[in-house]
Amino acid sequence: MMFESIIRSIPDWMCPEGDESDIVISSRARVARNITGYPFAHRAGVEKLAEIVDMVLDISESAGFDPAAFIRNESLDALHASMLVERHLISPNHVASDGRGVLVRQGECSSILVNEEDHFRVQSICSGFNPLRAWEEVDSIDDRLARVIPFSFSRQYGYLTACPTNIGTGLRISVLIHLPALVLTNDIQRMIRSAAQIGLTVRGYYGEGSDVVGNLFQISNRISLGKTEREIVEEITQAVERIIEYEKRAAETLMREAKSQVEDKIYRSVGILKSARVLSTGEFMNLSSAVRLGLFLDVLSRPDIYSLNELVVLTQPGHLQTRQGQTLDSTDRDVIRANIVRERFIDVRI
Amino acid sequence: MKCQICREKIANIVFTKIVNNEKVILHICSECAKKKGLTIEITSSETFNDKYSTHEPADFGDHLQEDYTPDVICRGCGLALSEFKKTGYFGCDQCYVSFELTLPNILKQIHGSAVHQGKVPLNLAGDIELKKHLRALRVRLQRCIEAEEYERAAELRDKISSIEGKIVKHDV
Repeated sequence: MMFESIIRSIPDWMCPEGDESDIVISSRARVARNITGYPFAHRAGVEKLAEIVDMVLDISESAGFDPAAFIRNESLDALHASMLVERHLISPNHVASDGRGVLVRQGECSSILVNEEDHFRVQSICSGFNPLRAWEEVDSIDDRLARVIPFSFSRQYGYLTACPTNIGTGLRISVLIHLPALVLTNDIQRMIRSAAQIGLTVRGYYGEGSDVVGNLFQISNRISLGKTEREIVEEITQAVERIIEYEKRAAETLMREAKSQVEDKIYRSVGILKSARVLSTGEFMNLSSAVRLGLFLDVLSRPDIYSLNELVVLTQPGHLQTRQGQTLDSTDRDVIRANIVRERFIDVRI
Repeated sequence: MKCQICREKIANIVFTKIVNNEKVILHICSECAKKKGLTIEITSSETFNDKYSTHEPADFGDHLQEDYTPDVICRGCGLALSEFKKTGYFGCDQCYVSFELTLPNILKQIHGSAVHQGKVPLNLAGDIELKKHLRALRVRLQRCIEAEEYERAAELRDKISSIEGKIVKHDV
């Protein structure tokens, strides 16, 4: 089954191969596109939505996708749907709706989300800090789609979208970044404020409306109209370069002024992860953040970042329950999560 | 429904006026609305930016003039402008034409600009080249006419109409 083969491994973008991958988890680009002559998805009705899905299946090969890799939302049970949400492939708002789905490329680096807020959301994620590469991939898929699909477009306003916040380029660049040192030095709020001043939005791991867990932040552009795609990519790249620099400086300050306290926090976290019998998602995310910091500061040499990234995905509720093959209440999940984590930390020495 | 002012054109604006707490509704056309000066104005406000900075649908209603709330209906999907103000979502790409009086202000509030600078769909990018070529040909045609080179002008005219036929017309 295609779904099984797609979700069997963790997404390629979680392998820490890209630039600055000890601080930046991933760089993502997406564009919003709609088909001219069709109502936007939320007003399209089941028949029109089905026509759009058929259109996607027809053109998927020419866009570089296997049509068999189209996952229909209505075919997903609750657990599989939450797995896709946890992998950032679909958004939680449209899980149970008919006429919607996602076309995924093996490795999950590129996908086309169909009939959520817009008819198409073409997305590309790459490991580490490389917004330009993510944009270039999206750009190329978008060009291939545009050869066969007449997109809603206006000379004045650019690509027309259901919500005017996405109009113009339809482009959102988003960088998932780990900033524990800026949090520990209390500089994070100042960073968020200055990012907002230059038109960037800072959110939690799960995007819109989500809380910050494990010191993971998503930084994205707010403005999609009035700039070229290259300018948007360039601006966010420069801003994140500065944030990485601040994070590194904050980490140096911590090690200079509070080395023992920082090391204590890191080793205690490893201690808990190695021995806990009950572990909630939130607690795991926060402790694993300290371990990630330990790897960055060379305080720890194990586990590697790949294992940590893998655990972040595998210990999410949807993944964990699918692995167990059943729905579990949160107490049982916390026990199983602790088991999985202990296994991975068995050869981590402190 | 026909416009209740000129009684000729189709009414595409629902104009609501509050008089002594009584709601008076008029169905009028956009031309009569313009003549009467009933255009929608959106004023700059901090709350607007705050709402939109989160990418959440926002209520645009607070920013309309209080006494007159003319409602515009989209010709493409029937969505009322008042509905968009509640949800923050348009119904179809024609909404961007139907609500053109309101749009530039809304877009400037969100993006600081109302003019697209980015890429153009491939099939239309071809058109842009063709249109550039067309403009050049028309200038040459005008020169030929002025110079009374009618044979050359006829050739250019044929070329121009053949190119015009090639341009895809799905641009909104």
